Order: sequence, then C-alpha cells, then structure tokens
Amino acid sequence: MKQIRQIDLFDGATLLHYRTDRFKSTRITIRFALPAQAQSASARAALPGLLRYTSKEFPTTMQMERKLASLYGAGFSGISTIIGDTHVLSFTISTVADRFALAGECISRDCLHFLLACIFEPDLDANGLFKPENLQREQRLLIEDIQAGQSDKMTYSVHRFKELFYAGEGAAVKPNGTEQQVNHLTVAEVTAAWRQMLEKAQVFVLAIGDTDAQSIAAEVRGFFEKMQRNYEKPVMTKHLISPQLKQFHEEEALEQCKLNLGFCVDCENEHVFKVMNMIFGGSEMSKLSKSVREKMSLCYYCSSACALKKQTLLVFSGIEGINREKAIAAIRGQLEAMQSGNITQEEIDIAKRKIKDAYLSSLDTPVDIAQWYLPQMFDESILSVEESIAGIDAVTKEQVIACAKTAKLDTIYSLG
Amino acid sequence: MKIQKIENKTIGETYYSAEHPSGLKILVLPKKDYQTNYALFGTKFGSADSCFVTAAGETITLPDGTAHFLEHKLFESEEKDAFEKFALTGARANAYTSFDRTCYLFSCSQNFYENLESLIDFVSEPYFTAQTIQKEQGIIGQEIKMYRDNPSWQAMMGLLGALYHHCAVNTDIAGSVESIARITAPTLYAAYEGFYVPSNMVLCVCGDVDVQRVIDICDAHIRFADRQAAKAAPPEEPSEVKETKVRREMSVSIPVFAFGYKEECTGIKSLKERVETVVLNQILIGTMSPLYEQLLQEGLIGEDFSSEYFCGRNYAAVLFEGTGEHGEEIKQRFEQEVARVRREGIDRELLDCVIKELYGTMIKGFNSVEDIASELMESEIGGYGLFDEWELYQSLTPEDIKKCLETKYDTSRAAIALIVPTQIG
Repeated sequence: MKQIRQIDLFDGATLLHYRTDRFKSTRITIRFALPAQAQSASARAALPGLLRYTSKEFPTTMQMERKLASLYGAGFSGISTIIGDTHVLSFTISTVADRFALAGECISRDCLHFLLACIFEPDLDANGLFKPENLQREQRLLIEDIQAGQSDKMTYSVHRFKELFYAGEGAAVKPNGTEQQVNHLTVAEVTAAWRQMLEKAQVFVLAIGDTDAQSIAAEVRGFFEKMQRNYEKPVMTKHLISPQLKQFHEEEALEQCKLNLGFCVDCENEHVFKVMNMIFGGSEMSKLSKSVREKMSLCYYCSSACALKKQTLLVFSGIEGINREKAIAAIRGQLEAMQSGNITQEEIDIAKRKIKDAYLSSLDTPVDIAQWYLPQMFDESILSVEESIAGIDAVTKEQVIACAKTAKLDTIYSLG
Repeated sequence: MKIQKIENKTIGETYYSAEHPSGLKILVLPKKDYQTNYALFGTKFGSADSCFVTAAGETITLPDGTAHFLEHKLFESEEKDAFEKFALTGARANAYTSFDRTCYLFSCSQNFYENLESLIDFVSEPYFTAQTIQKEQGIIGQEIKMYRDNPSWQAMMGLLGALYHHCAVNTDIAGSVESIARITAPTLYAAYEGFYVPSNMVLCVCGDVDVQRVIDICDAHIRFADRQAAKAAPPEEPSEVKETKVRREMSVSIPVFAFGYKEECTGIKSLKERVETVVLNQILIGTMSPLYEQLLQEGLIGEDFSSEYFCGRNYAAVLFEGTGEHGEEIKQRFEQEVARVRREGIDRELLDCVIKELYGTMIKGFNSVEDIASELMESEIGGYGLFDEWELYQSLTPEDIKKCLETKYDTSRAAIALIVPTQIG
C-alpha cells in the first residue's frame, strides 16, 4: 500500500504524507526554514539542542532519554543546516511502526505528540525564557561541535570554501555560527530565535509510515494554533560570478591537502544539470575520477556536486600539495573537454543509469524517502521518482554540452 | 544442498541459509516490493590476519595492509575494472576491509543477477601485475595520509596500539606507506589463495530476489571449491596492556580521546556476552544513565560520546570514545560507576528501558536491505542466527547482567589515548 498526499496546513506550512505499510517504522520530520543571517546563526543553532535535550515535561536529559526508550527507542534528532540561502532547523522522530508495539500502543500518535510538545513546550523559566543552565550546556556543545568541525580537515575545508565562495550570501552563513557568537548568546536571544522560528518560518512536515494524514494534520495545526504566525517565505538567489577569479590558500601542516573549486553555472533544467554533474565528477566513472584521479594520479579523491538553487558546481579533492597547480589545470581541463563536446554516448548512458538507479532506490527506506522529498520543500511542485526519471531520460548530449559551457570558474580554495 | 528456512513472526521476516557444496555459506533474505537489491560477498580475512599457516603447512607473515591492498586490487581485471562493469548496469559497487573481514558489495535496482555474476567473477579472478601494484601503492599511500589527518581514527588506533603488543589490530588496517611498499604480486597471491576460498566465505543477499536463482549463480560461478583455507596463526598476546596512556599532538581545535578495557579472548565471543556488554555500557554510561546526566550537567561529556564491544576471532575489548578535554576524568568516573553498580546492583527500570530501546533499534534495522545484508554477514561471522538477538532480549535478567559485570572493565588492563592540539613554541 502506498499513497502520497500533500496537505496545506496553514499559511506557509505543508504536510507531505507518505502512507505505506512496507516499513517497520514511522518517521516524522518537521522542518523550519528561515532566510540565513550571519547575526542569527548561533541563536538558531542552539535551538535543536535546547528543544532536544529537555522539555517542560521532561526537564532532565535522563528523563527525556528514558521517555524515548519507552517509545521503543525512538530516535529523536534536531539539526541546524544551511540549504541554499536558508537556515533550516529540522526535528525528526522515528520509531517502530504501531504493529510492533508490544502492548498494542499507538506509538506513532504518541511520538508525534511528543515531538510537537518538545518544540512548542520547552523547559522555560518563570519569565518565559530558556533556563540559563540549559543554554550553558548548549553553548558548550555548540563550541565543541564547531571545534570538532575545525579538527576534521575535510569538513573544515568544505565549510571554509563555501564561506569564501558564497561570501555575502545566505549560503556563506555557518550552520552553527561562530565561537564568539555562541559565547555571547543570551537567554533572551535564543528565546526570541525560538519564537521567530515558530512564527515566521516556512514549515514542512513529512510523515512516512502507516499513519493517518488527517490525524497528523490536526495534531500539527493544534499546536500551531497557539502561535501568532507571520510567515516570511525564504528566498533563494542564484550565485553571481565574481568580477575576478578568487583564490585562497590556507597553510596548515597536513598529510593530505584539500583543494576545492567553485563554478557558476546557468542551467535551470535540474535534470540536465544533474546529468552534467554526474559525467563531470559525480561518480567513480566520471571524468574527474577516471582522468584526474586514476590516469593522472593527481588526487586521492576528486568529485563534484551541483547546487541547483544556487546554480553552482563544486569540486572537492584531496591532493599532494606539490600537485596543486597540476590538479587545478587537470580539473579545468576536464570541464573544457566537456565544453568542447568531448562527451561519449557511453558516458551519458552511464550517468543516466546511475542517476536513475539511485532514484529507483530512493523509496526503499524511510530515510531515503525523506532524502528524496525534504529537499523539495522549497520547490513549487513536488516531483515523483517517475517524473524525475522521465526528466533524466529526456536529457540530450547537446543540452549537457550547453550546460557545461555556462560553467565559469569563480573560486579556488586550498588547505595544506 | 539443503536450504534452511528461518522465520520470525514477531519481526515479520524470513531468511534462507544454505551451505553450498563448495563450502560457501549463502544467506538470502527476500524483501518483496523493494526496488533495491543488495549483495555482500565477504571473506573471513581482515587486517588482523597477517600471520597464517597455509594448507601445505607453510607459515606466512604478510606486510601490514595486505588485506586492504588485496581488496583494492580484486576489483580490477585485465579487460575492465569492476566499477566500470557495474556502472554499465547502473549499479553502485564498493568494498571494504576491517580487522576481521573483507567484503565486496553492490546495490542496484535492475540487472541484479547479472551484477551478482560479475561480483563473484571479479572476486574469483585475481589479477596482479607489478605495474598495477605500483600504481595502487600511490593511491593507498594517499588514503593512509588522509586517515592520518583524522583525529578520531588516530585516537582509536592509538588506543589499540596501547592495548595490544602483537595482535595486528594494533596497526592501521591500510598499513603504512613503508609496509605497503613491501607488497608484491606473490604476497597478494599468497593471501588470496589462503583465504579467498569458498569454505571461508559468505554471500549475503537482500532484496526482491529468488533464492534458487542466487544458488544457481553460485553453482555456475563459484571456483576453487577444492582449495583448503589457511589457518590464521595470530601471535601470542600477553594479558597485560602495552601502555596505559598514549598522547599525540595533532592539528585539532579540540582534544579527542579513546579509552578501553582489554579482555581475554580465545575465540569469538558469544552473542549473549556481546548483548550483555552492550546493555551494560548503556546502563553505566549511556544517555539514559545517571552518570551521563551528571557528566553532561558538569560540562564534561559531549553528544558524540560512544561505546563499542570490539571483538573478533582473537581479540576483545570494550572501547569508548569522545571529544573534549576530560577523557581521563570520564574514564575515572566510569570506573567509579562500575564499582558502584557492582556493589548496589542493576537498576531494573533502567535495564527495561535499555532492552526496549534495543528492541526498537533492532526492528528498525529491518527496513534497509543494506543493513539486513550487513547484519546477515555480522551474524554469520559471529556464529549466531539473524533473529537470535531478539530471543536474547526476551530472556535477559538483571542477574545475567550483574554476572557479566563481575569480570568486565578490568582496570588493570585499561588504556587511554589522547589526541591533543599541537603546542606552539
């Protein structure tokens, strides 16, 4: 049994209900999207932890964790990410499907209520502010997270590269903000950020499992009725090419250097862009992998990713420092080859097959389904797997070349 | 060939187990109405099996990193490499080496049987030349360097190096740039002929597949049925640890730590002991425990703190890792908590919470064909059935857990590894 239903909950809020009895679990995600702003980043980043570790009903972490265990080990996560130019706060709960509850409980209903209660009824003091001890805990954890990201050089190089590439845009905002910002957070500030999230954010609810859409819609609406909504739709902007090539190098004593490149693209057809990216650097069969990595032995890893809304093409690689210039030339050379039409039918066929195979597998676990639908929360209409496959099938070689021709190198970043 | 059907009505799954005439173990869990099909073909040979005795009685010691090097090479052939062949059908292929196994896998939504034939053929047709080995030494050298920059991995390897004198888990799975420089074609063939033998291998499949058709493909493609597997000959490992503390400076912004408790190990640990250890870890320092709550409130522990029962054919240790400056204090507080629970007994309510959580996690694991295939492999190598965990959860008592606690976490056989920021000046 499979049934997909989209319900408008209220202004700026949508429920996508994917009803299926194929899985042994129920998964519900509530996402809040706001325009990314550097000055608000840390205050917003504190919210997932503040709402996840304690609540009004469960004011200690131990109580919260034991409650989750009683819901059959429900996984409850909250994360802060930057998607395009938006700051997205996601809260997900996942537990066994109702038929596996050993005492016949309606676990899915209990989990949804629990999730909404955590978001709407946090552990506040008598003044309606987050408690200082909880904020202090989050400040420490956020700083540790920021520092851990700096320690992992691959992660650090990607974040730093995006900060420089997208400078001045929402996409450059760090999902946790900065250490300095985190240290200066106040309870008033995070409480304001929480209210703003509930009042102004675009809201997307995705429910996957053998549940009832109307019950979920009613439960969600019930909690939001308590809020005075003043919804602002986040806007995604295309990244515009810099007047001149930006090059950055950070010295660091590393065993393996990191080299990242950013290109601006003008390709509104997402299917064409995805095929182009797959041929260029999207898999082990891509031009970057086969030529730059294997034939030329210039990189340990070399791959690309496309950011549709920002209209950018990003390349990430790990290299020996002495090969920096050669690797840059080789990567640019592969793109130039595509721009000259040097793309075989086999390359196109392999790229399409890989994309379509991945699409077909997108509906086989609740996590995969979530990864299929959640990125579409910003789109005017939601595409099914079948529609996307048809889009990929229709892509022509000429379109791929035309897309590649629009790519212009904007930023080079290296670390090491 | 007998095909055994194993069913669990509570979980709602059935799988099939067969021992192929070649000795290969075949495990298939059909999942109707799934698009993704997944196959995992593994050998019980990992980086820890660097010393062995061949069927002919010859003792061989391999350079560190040989199992991993062999894994890289097996997806190559004279005509085409495996990734190219799988890509032509849209499949996603990969391989990995751990301490006790090497596995080759693919997932696809179409052409499953064709891909399964390719998987078995590639793993059954070794092809090594001096040129391809030299090239791989460069690529793997880069991989080794990438992991040397990873503080979490370095903390864990530092800990294993402190716990073990001679057992090869004390060395990076990929070896070192120096050790892989000693690998030659004869080295790889010796390892291959010793362990890539059907009686030492397992094929796990999950997806919308036909069991008999999988077996028919094995009939047609499995080779070397007449070969005898080598016997691992691990070096004698003393009971005591090599060092109690190791410290390394790296370019990190926040320290990383790992601590652990070595155990006697004369063979694979039973499922019962594995489950009891996981339960104990949660009771003592899991997120539901009083100790975790205290450490969190005191600002000592982070969200990424985790535990693991690290065990294989000739090694076992309980390991913990996390980030932050307080690794040594967390270890000390953990040991105090162990002593307290030994004195005061197991909290029954907490035990029930942990078991309920483990049950839920187990159930959710049956959503993914990849997770199921991996769990089939894990259970086969661990010597138990896929559904045996569920049986155990129902029968575990506080007395079982208390008894397990009596001999766990021996502080005289403990070590800690610290990765700290490089001191300037």
